[in-house]
Amino acid sequence: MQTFSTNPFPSGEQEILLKAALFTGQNASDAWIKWNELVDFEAFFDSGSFRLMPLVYKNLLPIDPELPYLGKLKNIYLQSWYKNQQLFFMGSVLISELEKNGIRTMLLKGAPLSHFAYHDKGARPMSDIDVMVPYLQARDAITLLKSQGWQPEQEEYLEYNLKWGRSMMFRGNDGFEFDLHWHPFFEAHGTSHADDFWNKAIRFQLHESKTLSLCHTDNLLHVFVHGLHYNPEPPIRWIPDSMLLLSNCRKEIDWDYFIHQAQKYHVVLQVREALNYLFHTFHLDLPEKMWKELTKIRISRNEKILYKNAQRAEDEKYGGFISRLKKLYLIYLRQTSDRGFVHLSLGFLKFLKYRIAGKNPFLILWYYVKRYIEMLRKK
Amino acid sequence: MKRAFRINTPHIVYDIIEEETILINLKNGNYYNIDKYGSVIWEILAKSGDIDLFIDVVTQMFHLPAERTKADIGVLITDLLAENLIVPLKVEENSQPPMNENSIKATVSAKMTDFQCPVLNKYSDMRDALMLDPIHEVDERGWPTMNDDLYFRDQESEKKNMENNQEP
Repeated sequence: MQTFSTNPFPSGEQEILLKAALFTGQNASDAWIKWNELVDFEAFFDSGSFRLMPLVYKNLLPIDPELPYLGKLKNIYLQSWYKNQQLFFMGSVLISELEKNGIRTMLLKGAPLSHFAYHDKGARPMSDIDVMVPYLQARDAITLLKSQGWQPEQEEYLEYNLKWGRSMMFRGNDGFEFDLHWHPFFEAHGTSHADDFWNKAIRFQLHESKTLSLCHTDNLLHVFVHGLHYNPEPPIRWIPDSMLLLSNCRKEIDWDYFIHQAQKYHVVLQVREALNYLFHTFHLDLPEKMWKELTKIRISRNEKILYKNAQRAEDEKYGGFISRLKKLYLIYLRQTSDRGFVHLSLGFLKFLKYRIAGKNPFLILWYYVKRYIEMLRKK
Repeated sequence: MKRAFRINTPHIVYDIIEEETILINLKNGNYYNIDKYGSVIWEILAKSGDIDLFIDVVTQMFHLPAERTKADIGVLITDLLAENLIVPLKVEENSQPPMNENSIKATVSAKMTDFQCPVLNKYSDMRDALMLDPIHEVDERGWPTMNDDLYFRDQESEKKNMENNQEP
């Protein structure tokens, strides 16, 4: 019986499958055989494991084409290859449209990782394309996209998202979806950080469209921060993403800059936990000096609370009204450049105003009354 | 006169998986696969190789009647042209040095142990193929071919639906 987990660290079975996807030779084929003893391939298994199958196929095929279920793995791979090619093509059209209108673009996640880390167009299944534009051009990009028939999801949160969020999902008439980002992750926020990732970006081409990608060091940081965040799909894919990025772009990783960025965006805890896991489970070779420096960094209490909070599902994230308010305050603190008691207090009130804009305040109140009644009943 | 072609890029993208070439025409979403014999021809085409030279090499190497080889390969080339997967190569487009007889021979001996009529399969109903469960709903011919049981079950349920919805 397989255990399901939305924890960023894999369950026992998922870890064995990851070994089939990442190990070499006999170790990989042994892991695949072992996984098949524990999990019924023909029955239902978790989507996080399913998304690893194309990579498992590509890894196992040259080792032993007679391994069980390789034919079915090939089917998963082919479907993923087709879907990804369609997404790359549609993404290239979108990029060319934005660039033509003077909006700079950068691709995040799937497309650059497939190219730089996986060296394969089908091994990493994608469901959408992630395009980032500079923070100061986000509003122009949204206006342009809307004028061309793209529909933003939950448009009522536009102002909140622009001020405090990082992205917005758009859907085209043909069902094609993409995420428009103006920050790579929640932890990077405010205009002061706007140019940070752009200055070090590297050239990237998607079909005929020229665009940018995060540099490999920022990309690694992004994989960790995004991966160690709660995700309804078991988010174990950060493990092959980072392992393959490290194995194929190792020379370009600037560890000093990596530590600097982790500290700047208060994500040292995520980075430390991720590297520690990769070191112990996948024998990742880490520069000793970097690791020593990383472990020396002091983590604030707020950072610890925010990190724990980011790993929990939305429904269970907040307890009562006070604890929700406290956590919202922590999120606000992470994402503001306001300083001083008066500025912080007023800023937090503004943050709350943005947060509830578009929502009915009575429904929010009713939600907490219901929660309180439930709590009393349980007691 | 040399007869060469080029892949109709950028709208045609392809890859080779287990000796089979998979292709997409991004303009219309059509998906194709070419078997292992056709994949060698595809490789020659991708390198702007002279197709008549290839026919000569295959005919000699596998002691085949020239007419048969020519006809088999001719059918594939015609199909590839008809599907706009390749286009005739113009002299000014040929940026890479064309494959000479030796490199064609080397490719054939490395990739072929015999020669059979190459097969190109075309799939245009890709919306359904994308919805298929690739573990349970694909037959032994591989994705995107739907499992026969499922195909007939779908046909059967469609028929029943039509019957049920007919007015008495």
